[in-house]
Amino acid sequence: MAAVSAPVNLSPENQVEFATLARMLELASGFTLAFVRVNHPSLRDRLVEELLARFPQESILRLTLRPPLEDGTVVHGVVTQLLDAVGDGHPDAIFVFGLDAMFDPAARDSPALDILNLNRSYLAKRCCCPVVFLIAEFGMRELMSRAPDFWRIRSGTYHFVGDTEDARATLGRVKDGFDWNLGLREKHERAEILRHVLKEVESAAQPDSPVLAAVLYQLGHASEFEGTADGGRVHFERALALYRKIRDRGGEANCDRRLGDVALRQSRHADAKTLYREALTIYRQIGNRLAEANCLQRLGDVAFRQNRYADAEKLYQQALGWYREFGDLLGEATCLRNLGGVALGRDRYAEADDLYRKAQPVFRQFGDRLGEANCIQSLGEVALQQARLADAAELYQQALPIYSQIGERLGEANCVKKLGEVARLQSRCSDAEDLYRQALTIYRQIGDRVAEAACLAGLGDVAGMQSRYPEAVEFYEQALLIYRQIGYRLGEANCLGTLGDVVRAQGHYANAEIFYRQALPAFRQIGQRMGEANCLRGLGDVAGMQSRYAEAGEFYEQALLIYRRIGARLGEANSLQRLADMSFHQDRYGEALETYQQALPIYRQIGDRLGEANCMQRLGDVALQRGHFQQAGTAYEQALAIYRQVGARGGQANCVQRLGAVARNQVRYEDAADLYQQALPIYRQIGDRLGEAGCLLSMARLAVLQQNVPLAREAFDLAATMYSTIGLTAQAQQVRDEALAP
Amino acid sequence: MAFSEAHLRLKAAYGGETLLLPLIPVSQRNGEDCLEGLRALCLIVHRRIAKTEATPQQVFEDDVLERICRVSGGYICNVFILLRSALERCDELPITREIADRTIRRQAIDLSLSLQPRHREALRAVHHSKTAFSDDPGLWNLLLRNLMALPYEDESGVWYDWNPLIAAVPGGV
Repeated sequence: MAAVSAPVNLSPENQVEFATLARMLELASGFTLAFVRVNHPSLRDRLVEELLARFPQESILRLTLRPPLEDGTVVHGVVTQLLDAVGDGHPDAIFVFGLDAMFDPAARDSPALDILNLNRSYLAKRCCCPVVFLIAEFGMRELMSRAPDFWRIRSGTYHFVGDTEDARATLGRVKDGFDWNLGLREKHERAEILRHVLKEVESAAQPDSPVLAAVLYQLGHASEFEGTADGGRVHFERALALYRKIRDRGGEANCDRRLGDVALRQSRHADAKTLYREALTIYRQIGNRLAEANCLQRLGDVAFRQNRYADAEKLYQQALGWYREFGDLLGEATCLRNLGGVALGRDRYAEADDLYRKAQPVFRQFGDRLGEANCIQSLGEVALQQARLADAAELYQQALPIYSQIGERLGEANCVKKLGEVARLQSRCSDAEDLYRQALTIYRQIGDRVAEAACLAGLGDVAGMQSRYPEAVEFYEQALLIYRQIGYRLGEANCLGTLGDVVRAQGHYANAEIFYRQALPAFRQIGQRMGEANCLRGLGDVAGMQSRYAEAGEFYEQALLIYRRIGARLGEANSLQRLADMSFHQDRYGEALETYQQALPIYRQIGDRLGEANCMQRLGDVALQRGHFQQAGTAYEQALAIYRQVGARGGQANCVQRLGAVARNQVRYEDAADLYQQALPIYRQIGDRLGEAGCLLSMARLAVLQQNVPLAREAFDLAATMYSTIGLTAQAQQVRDEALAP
Repeated sequence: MAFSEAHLRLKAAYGGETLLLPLIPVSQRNGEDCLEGLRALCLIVHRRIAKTEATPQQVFEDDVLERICRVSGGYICNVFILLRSALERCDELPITREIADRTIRRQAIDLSLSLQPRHREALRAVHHSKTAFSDDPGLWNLLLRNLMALPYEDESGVWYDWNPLIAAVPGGV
């Protein structure tokens, strides 16, 4: 080969590098491995053109590698493709493109590079000419660390830096179709390229402001795909400052809108609103009506996230009208889906289902995979709200792989969290805990605070179900703190409600009532009926525990009405069960039996095993009170088996204690004492003080029957003290009276 | 593999000690030049030059060869990658100090592309202590495999240092 002087259409630096590369081609004899580091396809093409012109007599083979399949499967390895391309020919040099596309820079494994690393000697033996790989910086970086032995046999590397025109051309390529539908690998690659281009543009003697702003804007956009906690904020803010400086109003508005998106994702709702309004004003001034509609829709999102459903609906409807006017079907579908969200928020499930089903095919038609996944997930949400747990799980399982494929981490985390919720509702506690923790990790990474708090609350729910109450309270308090920080009222109300539930479960009734009474007006104010019903139920629970049975019954009736109206079957079953409890406490056993029997099939139907066990246990209680001891024993055994399966220790303790009562009634005192002894430590372990008091009382009564006066006295005393500590003074007095009775 | 967790399995499978062909030391544990090692590396290059009937003085300006040998870390493959790269950058011989510097800087930049903060931290520790980085065995293995850290041997046993190119990374490590 014969080298001539360097081409003029290259920068002086690139000319030096070009001469070096040309000299390598000229001097090389036999296999020579070289790497050309160039980030811009335009510059790369120019280089190749120049080289071909410099060596017109030489046969230079150009090969673009075929990438692996989307799932990472390597159909044709690099060496195979190279040797296939050479065939029986004897090229003087081979230029290889597309090595960057053979692996995913964000994936842990890269089979194509592993194979290349292993086959390096074979390649050296079979190729008797220079082999020049033209790759981007990230490609070179990954090659060095993932195929170090292949890298080691290189003879040289050559680095070319692009100019503003190259940056502009590369930017154009990166921007094209840079959305969620792009494959994950491709998204990672483009983000890497953008980072390299930024470095090059910034290091220029006089950086070109419009190009720099555009690169920063796209990098911010890329951060959205990468799910970082910053969410691209720094990049957008830098771009915004530049656009303002160069008086590019469209660019400025776009940055405002994107910063609004970041704020919304980070639950900074007031910031988001301000930013969208700023963008909206500019779009109006410059007459970009489509962008204006997009802004209205996003303002709707802010209202929605703040649970201002009426405002959200109005804004979505307004945007919907505009999209229809422009014939923008995708915009229309997005609006329909958002309106579905509003309907769901207002517990109008059938309407929500209908809206999602209208939007989904449009997204599919346009190949908008994110939109489609969002619709499927929302349909899962409807199913979940209607307690169709199996359907919900299936829908989430459908949406999850789409999110994973396109790398939408928020959607992925949402699906995982919802699957956790389904697992929780099906009383698969350890699955639920695992799933919540998985989701929590992602939410923390991407900085979604609302969802982080929701996960913490979910973990609190699971801890509560397993009677790990102090842990549960800790989780809820962490969640409550986040909700208050970001001013998310629904979350706060939910948290207060569940904190009420948990402290109630620990027997702190006065505190529980305080929590419920704080939560109730919050739910009413934001129109969240389910939460309202749950609070009423909680207040019923507190009243019931304090033996105000009639008052409790009234709360339950109110709650039941709401649950039935919104079609929340679990709430319905729970309310029925509580109503039955009240009948039971007022010794109306026939009425109680009938109501429990209404609740049981609902629990079974929705697959709530814990609910089923609770109901079984109560049916046992009714049987016990009616003196049907064998029947009671069977019911308790059945309930106990379920409690053990789901790991509900409180339920286990209750069943064991009641089996003790059955034994006592059947005059099997030894068995009874033994069973009480088993139940007591469980109550103590889980901190269920009411259960402990009840168990002690049972032990005392048994001791009386066994004429063990010292034990009876001690147990009565402990039980009375425990009741007083909990604040159940009436019970405490009763116990003391009973102890004094002859 | 001799430095990895597979070491014992390797020994068991093939029976006997793993023989290591140590790198030619270019410096000593105390950081001073290892003159003997540098001389040996230069000699290898001189022998190659002799085959072309040129003299080392015709090929290298001043102490350019010693400088190249020093940053190679005693890894002979690195010596030739650096030499080749420097030769491609010359319009005529000898290789000047300026060209040698530019070549070394380019190689150092290449090396720095895959350097992450945790790599830098570990390498600084190795360079300072001259011992293996035991905090993270996975990372240590990677650094050895990628020739970021290099093993040497002297009468007191094996010791380690970073690849001297790392010290030439613009902006420091």
